[in-house]
Amino acid sequence: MNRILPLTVLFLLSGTLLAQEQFSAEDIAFFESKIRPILVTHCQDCHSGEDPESRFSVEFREAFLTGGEFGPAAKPGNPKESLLISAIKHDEFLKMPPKAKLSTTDVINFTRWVELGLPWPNESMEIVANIGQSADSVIAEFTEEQKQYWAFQLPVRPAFPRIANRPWIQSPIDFFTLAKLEEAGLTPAPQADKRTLIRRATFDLLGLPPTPQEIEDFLEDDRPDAYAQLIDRLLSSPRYGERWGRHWLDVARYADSNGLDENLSYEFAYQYRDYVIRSMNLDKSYGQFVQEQIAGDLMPPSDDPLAGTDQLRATGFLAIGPKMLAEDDPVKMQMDIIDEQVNTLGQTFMGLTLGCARCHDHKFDPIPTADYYALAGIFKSTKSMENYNVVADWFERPLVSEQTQAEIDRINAEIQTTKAKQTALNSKVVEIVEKELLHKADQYLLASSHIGDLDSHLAKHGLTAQAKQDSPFIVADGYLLVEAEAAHRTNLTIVPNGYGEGIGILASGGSGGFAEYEIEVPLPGSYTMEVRYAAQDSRSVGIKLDGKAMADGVLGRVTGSWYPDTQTWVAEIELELTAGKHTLAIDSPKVYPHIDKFALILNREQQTQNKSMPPSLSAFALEFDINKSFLSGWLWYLKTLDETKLQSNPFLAAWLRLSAIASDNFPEASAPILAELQSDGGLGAQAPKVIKDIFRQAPPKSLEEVAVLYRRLIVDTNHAFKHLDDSAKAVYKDVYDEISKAEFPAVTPKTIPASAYPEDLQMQRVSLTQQIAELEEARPEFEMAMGVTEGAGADLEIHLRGSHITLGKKVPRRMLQIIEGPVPQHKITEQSGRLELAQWLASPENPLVNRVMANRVWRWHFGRGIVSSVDNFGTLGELPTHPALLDYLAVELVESNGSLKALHRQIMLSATYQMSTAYSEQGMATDPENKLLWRFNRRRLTGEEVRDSVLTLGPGLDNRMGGTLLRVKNRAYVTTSGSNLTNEFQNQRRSIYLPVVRSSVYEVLQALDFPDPAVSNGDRATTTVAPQALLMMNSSLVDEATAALSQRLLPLNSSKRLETAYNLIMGRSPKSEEISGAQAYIQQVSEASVSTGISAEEASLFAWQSLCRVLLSSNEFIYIE
Amino acid sequence: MVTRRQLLKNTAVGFGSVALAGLMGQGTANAEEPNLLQRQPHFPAKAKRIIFLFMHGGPSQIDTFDYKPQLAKDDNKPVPFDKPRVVSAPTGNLLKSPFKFKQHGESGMWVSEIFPHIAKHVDELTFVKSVHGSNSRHGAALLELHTGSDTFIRPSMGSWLGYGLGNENQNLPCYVTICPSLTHGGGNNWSSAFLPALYAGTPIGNAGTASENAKIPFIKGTTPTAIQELEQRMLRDINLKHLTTTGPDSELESRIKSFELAFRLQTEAPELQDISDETADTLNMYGINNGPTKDFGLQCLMARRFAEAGVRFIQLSHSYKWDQHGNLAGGHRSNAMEVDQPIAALLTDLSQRGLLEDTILWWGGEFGRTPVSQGGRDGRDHNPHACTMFFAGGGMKPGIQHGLTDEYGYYAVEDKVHFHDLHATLLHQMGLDHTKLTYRYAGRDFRLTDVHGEVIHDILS
Repeated sequence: MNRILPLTVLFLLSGTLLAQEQFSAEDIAFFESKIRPILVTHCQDCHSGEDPESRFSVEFREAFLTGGEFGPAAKPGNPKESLLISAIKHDEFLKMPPKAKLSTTDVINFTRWVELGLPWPNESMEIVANIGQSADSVIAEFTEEQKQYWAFQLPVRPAFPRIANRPWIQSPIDFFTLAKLEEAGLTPAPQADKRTLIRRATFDLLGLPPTPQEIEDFLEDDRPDAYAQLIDRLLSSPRYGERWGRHWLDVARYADSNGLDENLSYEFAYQYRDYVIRSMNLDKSYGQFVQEQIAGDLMPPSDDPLAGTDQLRATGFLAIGPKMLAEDDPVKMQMDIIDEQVNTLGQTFMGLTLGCARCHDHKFDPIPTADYYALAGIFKSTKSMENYNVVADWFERPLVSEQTQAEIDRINAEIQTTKAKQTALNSKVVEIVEKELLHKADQYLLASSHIGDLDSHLAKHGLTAQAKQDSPFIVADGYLLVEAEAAHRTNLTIVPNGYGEGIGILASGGSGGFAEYEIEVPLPGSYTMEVRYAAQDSRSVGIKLDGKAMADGVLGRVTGSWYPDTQTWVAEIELELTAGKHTLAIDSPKVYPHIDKFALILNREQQTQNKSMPPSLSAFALEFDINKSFLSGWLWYLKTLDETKLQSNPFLAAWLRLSAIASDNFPEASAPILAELQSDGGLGAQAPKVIKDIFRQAPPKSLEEVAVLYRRLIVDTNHAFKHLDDSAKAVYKDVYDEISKAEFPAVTPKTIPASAYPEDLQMQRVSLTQQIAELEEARPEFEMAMGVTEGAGADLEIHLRGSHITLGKKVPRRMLQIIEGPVPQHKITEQSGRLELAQWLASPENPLVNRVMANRVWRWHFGRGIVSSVDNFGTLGELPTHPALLDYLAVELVESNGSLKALHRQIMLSATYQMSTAYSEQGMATDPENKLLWRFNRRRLTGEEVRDSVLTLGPGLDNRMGGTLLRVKNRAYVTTSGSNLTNEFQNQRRSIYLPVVRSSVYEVLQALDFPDPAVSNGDRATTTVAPQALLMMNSSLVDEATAALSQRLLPLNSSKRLETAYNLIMGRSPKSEEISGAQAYIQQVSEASVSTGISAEEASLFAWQSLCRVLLSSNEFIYIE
Repeated sequence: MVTRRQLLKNTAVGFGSVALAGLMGQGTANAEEPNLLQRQPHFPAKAKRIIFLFMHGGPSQIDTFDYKPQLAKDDNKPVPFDKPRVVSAPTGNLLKSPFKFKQHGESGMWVSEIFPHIAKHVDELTFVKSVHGSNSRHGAALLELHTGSDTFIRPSMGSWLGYGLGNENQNLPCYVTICPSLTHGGGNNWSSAFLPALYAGTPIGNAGTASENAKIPFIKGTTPTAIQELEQRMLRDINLKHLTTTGPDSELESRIKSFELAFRLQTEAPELQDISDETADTLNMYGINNGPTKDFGLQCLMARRFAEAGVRFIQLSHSYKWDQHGNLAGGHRSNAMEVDQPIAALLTDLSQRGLLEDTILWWGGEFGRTPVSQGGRDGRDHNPHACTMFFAGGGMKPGIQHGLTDEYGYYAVEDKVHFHDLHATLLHQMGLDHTKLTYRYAGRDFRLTDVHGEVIHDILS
């Protein structure tokens, strides 16, 4: 085990703590009799000595004050804030003693002990200074054994071992494998036949089956280097990057969504995927590939535009991990994201499980916690996120040249200026609106009480739920009423119950959509759109008329809940409509409020008096000379008061009672209410003094007068709080409490409705909006990518036990000490240190990076790594079966300038690779796991290979490269209660281009062992489970592919059909018994089908489809020899 | 097209599960290979299976089972102690429950009026009132509840059980989750993470599906069964011939077997979901003929059928309806109505069939709710510091309550039970020591309870 130099902790014991407290003999006696015995019997076993648990010792009073990893244990005089007390009470996360709780008497005694100030006799404190500080130390000291661990030694070119069977050798690699076999007394399997080799090599490099033509060509090619030529042909195919890029994506835990808690779309993750595929096809040097993924943005930019932007795409590696985006604790969120980056980095490039050192020194490998935080500091200094809000936004960057960037910056600046003008205009309007709201408060009150419930007015006009059902579009002259769920075209959900109980509403799931209505307008003119909806949070949408956007950010009011009882009419926007047909659309990329219905109302000024016109907010607003949009706010507010808050609203309670009185005998009917108001009971009990006062001074004779009194009070209160001193404010405090609530309708809203703008200002507003739209239009388009950039450089403190709440010593950023030594060689200067980290990883002095990659390549060819734990080269990983061979391959990788294609060539041209999978009793007896490679490992096709092959043989594979198939917009929810994907997987593109949705992986790939895309995995498992069989038997993928395949076979001459089917699927001709077997089968299935009454031709097609399904399901097809 | 019925009638090939079973007998499972064969628990188990009734969204403890008279008295007053350090949204003053509470049964448990059916069963139930987690967000809380971690991807509890105990029925998955939500961690909540895929939860539909339409992926295709039988026979022939050319290979043999298992699963699972053999009384008891209770009633009935068939861990989801930031009175009432009768029916049914004895029924959400108001004094915010769960059967002590919250139900204060403790306790009842059920991954032995968890012996009989 590694030993860490213990640091002294004397510095922790600051002056005040060192000063000895004086305690009375009585208190000391209490300690000795009640406390010390408990400490000795219950605590000391763990919490004493040089290396106490959690670095907390109970041997000295000072140790309680400084505490351990969880902070101070006791605060003298304050048991409530003492961790010790909560721990022994078993109240909080920390429960001590862990097994048996102390008795109640003991707890009382300890509480008293803390209250007394922790009395303790005078004792020496020397030993306190020696408490183990491993988690807090910076410089590590490693044992010789740790330093000599094989994986930390630089790979060196090994000598070729001596072997006997010289003729078997085809490549240097074979020396190493053969030597091991000969040592074990094993003989290598014979060379595989050419048919097997071309199938093996083609799947291996391209992930696709060879075509019958390719097989034939290869069989006929008798040049001595035919096989080498084959490998070269395969390596130059663009399909190579798609196959080997996918291997890398497993390691890079690639996905197109966040996963974890809030599963949002990573729309631009594909940029990183395409970068990986391109890099593979270009045979980019592995060292460069590594560096770009860590710090491509900090490397000198390439002259080639694509290579230049690829450097930026590359850092997507650090960005595409899963993140807890709705973590309420932003500090924890950041540290968790950094941890994910450090852990993935360690596993991917070095085969080290760095994550283990987050909470404590790595238990098995020489990675002290200090090293973890030294690396974590690099990522702390890197910007991965825009913010740590709930739900947090990750960083994205434009992929542009400097020139274009300058142009974009210029336009952005202009947009900013224009927006500033908008803001200035807005504040002007705010002033106007404020006046309107305050000084017409009486009219709003009167109008609201007059209207009451707008729907009851509508009912009087026959516009009941029943009527709506019969005719969802009701038209009077200048009035259209439309049920939201009667949309002509929509991808939103109609909710008939629950949120839509009794009314039917239109709502969206996790993401947006549209609803389009064909409307016929009888009279031209200016219309107000009034909408009835419910919303607990503001969810605004856009309105389009005949395909043109008319308004954005409308329907954003909060009504209290999503349920029908808070459905509210709101006057939203004005629309100029010509007579005739129009398409009106509600359109939003985001979630919708719950929309019940809407009305279009011709503005009254423009229409001839029409008595039959149904009532509306617009009509009432006109009557009372107030704003229709604010009127809906008042209506809603009074409605909620009516139902739930009347008791608790002393301010408006009187109004609600008085406004319920019939107007004809107001003075008589109001008298008892007014008297009650002045008394100490009922209304009077709660009413603030100012309310009593205004009614006492001038008893109102009509409701209009009451409204005026209220308006004055509101205006006065507002004035007092804006301009007067505290004593004046105190008078109005109760009223102010009410009217300053955000939902109080006389408060100026955050967004001012267009209808509240005076005409000239409205024109300015429109013009500014237009300017911004034009500027945005003119801004050059650019692609975006996920990635990271530089943040503020900062070292991190060691987080004790991984907790961001208990911090230890700050550690400077640097590389791993076990590899770099105690003195940093790659010094971090000004920036985050990512560039230095990248250079360190890619430098030839790094013993792990090339070795880990050479081993990965071997694993992906042979199904098992030379180090079988490909992601873990630590002491808990497996030892290499062929250490010299691994060194040889690592050196070759470095010396071929990091060319993976050169490595493939070496490996695939070896006799080792070309062995057959032939079974051997002796081999099985000596080495059943085939660790020594006495034969080639048979392997099952991966999920991607199954799908891609089945598509190739059936409908054909779409070979277009790159781009994204994800249709969910960036940062929108990919999954909610169900999946928000539409038909992202119903296409013939290669599987690598299908979106990878974390926590909801495409079911075909999921069934076939697609690795969890949340974690790095270079060693995919192969399971054999029933759901995979169900996939072959029942999936539409296999159904459709076999249907296409049988369509392809049927036109052929009957004798050619089976020949073709076997050549396509198995890569060989059928044997004679297979021919007879298949014929019998076709016969059997056809007869079974015909006897049900279907036509012979249909039955034949059906039978051939069935046979194809059997062949595609067969082990011979699914396994590579 | 040929229909299944036509083919069954007209095909004379007697090939089905009986014939397929012949092959299944050969060979024994490789010890190293993940399998669902039943395994010995660490010690004799009190329970063989768990049915988890998951109330997604976070039911309010103080409006359901944690009766707080003081809350009603202090309605609309500020809470007299500190609110938690980390909160998900601003909240207001104390808010009394809109519901009436009454005592029930011999145990005298307090139950809110919204659960009239469950109230009749309180003497069979074990209430834990001091459950708490660590995270106030749905996603993190769901992950913590299901996997023990709100930070990393970890195997779900059901997967751990499959890994530890195998399955009673070799034709069915060890862990099914009916109509789970794809949000708030989605598949991570039932994934096997680094455990072999065999132990992953099998989702049957999702929260976006009505439970009557919920199906296992690929369980049904378009090929008529009779043709499929021919295909299976042909495939077996081809694969067996292939095997003679390759020499012995356990993986190839397993794959041959996997088709036979699939064929049986394909028959058995839909039969389990086909409730046409249930009596009208049973359907009525679960409320399957009635609008509001239909969906969850069907889930509960399916749970009984899966339990009977020998599935280890069955999760139901009443999906994401309990999140009453507003409309508390209306929302909780209608939610309770949807689950109350079905749950009571499940209790009765399991009990009548003698299944309750070794089945743990577990009811709960991802957190409780605040006793203080949100959203216009008719709503409550998330509260991971206290929630109530209840259990029945499987050796849990009936008719008791464990743990206490403060006088308003804000914080669990006495006998606090963390999710880790719950996991430890449930594993214990299944005969597993949570400290010993480990799996080596990435250089470390992992446990469901990480380094935490204590068995709560007080609630076990």
